[in-house]
Amino acid sequence: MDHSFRSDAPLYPQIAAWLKRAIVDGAFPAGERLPSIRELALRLSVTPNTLQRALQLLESEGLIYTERTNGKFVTGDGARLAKLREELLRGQVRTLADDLRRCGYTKEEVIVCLAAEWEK
Amino acid sequence: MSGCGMGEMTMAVSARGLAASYGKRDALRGVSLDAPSGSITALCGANGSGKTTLCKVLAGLIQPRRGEARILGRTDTWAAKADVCYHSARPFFEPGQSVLGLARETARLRARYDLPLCQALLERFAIPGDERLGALSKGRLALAMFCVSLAQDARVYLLDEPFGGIDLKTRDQMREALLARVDEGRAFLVCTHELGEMEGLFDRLVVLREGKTICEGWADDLREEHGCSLADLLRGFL
Repeated sequence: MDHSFRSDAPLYPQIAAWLKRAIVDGAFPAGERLPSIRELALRLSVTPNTLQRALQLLESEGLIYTERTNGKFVTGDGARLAKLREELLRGQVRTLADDLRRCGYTKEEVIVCLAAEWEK
Repeated sequence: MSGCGMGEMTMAVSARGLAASYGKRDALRGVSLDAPSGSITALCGANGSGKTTLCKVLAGLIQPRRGEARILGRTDTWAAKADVCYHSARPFFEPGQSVLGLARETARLRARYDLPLCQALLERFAIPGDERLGALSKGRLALAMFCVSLAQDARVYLLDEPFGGIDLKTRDQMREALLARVDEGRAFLVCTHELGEMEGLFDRLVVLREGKTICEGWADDLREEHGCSLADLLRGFL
């Protein structure tokens, strides 16, 4: 999994976004244990404190939970995961749509192009 | 700070209004800072801003003229030295001594030392243990000293310019080694000019100017507040 974070904005929300994406793409499957904070921090080259703060954000959003001695797990709640999937899609499409609209493309042009790319 | 308050954290290093001088020259004129256990703090500032003097005061090597320094809650910073690793930017060394010889000697002098870790680090950085210190290039000597220091089993690490004169790729490996050494019981204070390439390594930033603290805070809070990277923030202060 590739990652690079912008340093002109707080890191922990970017790490949280990276973790969410990893949950959606199946790298961290539903109901399974996450790697330890230490391991994730090393993998992402950030401090354990920053990683911890990102995990707290995910926990507050109900995407992960802590088992006292076993570590942190991805939620098994299908409805919550479906919502996350939806949020990720909307977020990505919004960014794309905003950018292309600014460049003057029409909705029809974009949809035709997207459909063609999808088939490749 | 919402997610990362200081209340529940153990303060490994704290300083209030520190002043120190060399003869008539004031090197510190009011330094305050906090470095909680489990965190890495970048100590930045222009050359001559007081970073090294601050490290020496915290290591108990220089007596402050005013103010208070606490290491793990103790004001006698010299007495706390068993828990402190002081990594000098200009270390004294015996040119004829081998790298591993230095590590063994450090291990003898320290209450707690992780010799296997030192050997593993030297191996990772491809520094032969039997290499004489005097035969190493400037960069590799700094790297060898870094390995010897990091293997100290301390609770407070005062690292003065550990990345100076080190190439980019090696610096990345040093960052990994440092991150792997962080745990809840250890605090790191790192003097550095290489903030730009090391943004993710630091939890906190302290900036000194002319012997005073002019900025201190959690890295992500500062990025949020100022809308820029720590490196750009620092540039504005210098």
